[in-house]
Amino acid sequence: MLTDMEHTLDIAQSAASADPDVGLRAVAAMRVLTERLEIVQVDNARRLGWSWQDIATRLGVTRQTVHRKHGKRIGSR
Amino acid sequence: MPGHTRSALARALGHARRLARRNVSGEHLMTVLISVLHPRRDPRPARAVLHSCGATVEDVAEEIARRAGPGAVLFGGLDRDALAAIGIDLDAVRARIESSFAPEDLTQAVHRQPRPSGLKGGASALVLLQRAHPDVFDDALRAVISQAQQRKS
Repeated sequence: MLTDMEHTLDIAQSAASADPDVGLRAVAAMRVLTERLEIVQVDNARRLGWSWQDIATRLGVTRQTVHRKHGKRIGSR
Repeated sequence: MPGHTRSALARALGHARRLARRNVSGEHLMTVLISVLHPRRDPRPARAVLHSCGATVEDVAEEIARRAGPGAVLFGGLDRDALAAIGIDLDAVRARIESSFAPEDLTQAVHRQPRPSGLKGGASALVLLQRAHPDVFDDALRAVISQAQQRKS
């Protein structure tokens, strides 16, 4: 059984998740985080010898898309 | 010499003269660099001054990571509270990533900083690093310029 404090917190969290201000900011932050994690993961995959095609398949995009986005950065190192 | 570089160096010279010194030191360049790092100003002078010292934005990002932890650049400036509200614990994600990758692998995302609200296009990665890491930025920049000048001499 929930205590009064837990019940209050539960309502507060539910309200927060339905608040467009919080929800939209969360989406924006997730988008940036996803972009950055993609860079880390693609760089790592290339260091381990993965082909652009294998990386593209895992990301659900075409080989051209992933190469256009990351090829120049990785190729210049 | 590009106009924006000349104008930055002129400001550094003016600053040095005001302090009655003969030469422009790294400290004067630093002062100018920080003064031009404003999101509504042209970011090119800041980049030009940094490059004239022999340093890059990536050097600054690595120095920030050294001071604030390996994942500082990758996770800096993100809206922690908004993510927590939808169940994403940024600290937990950061801990997992930091334990899986070498520190130098985590600073490459320097050009993918979030744009703070009200900041439109054209902001440099340097400005965004400054906004995301106000507590360590100035010291990191000072250290990078000092190291670059030592390499040059």
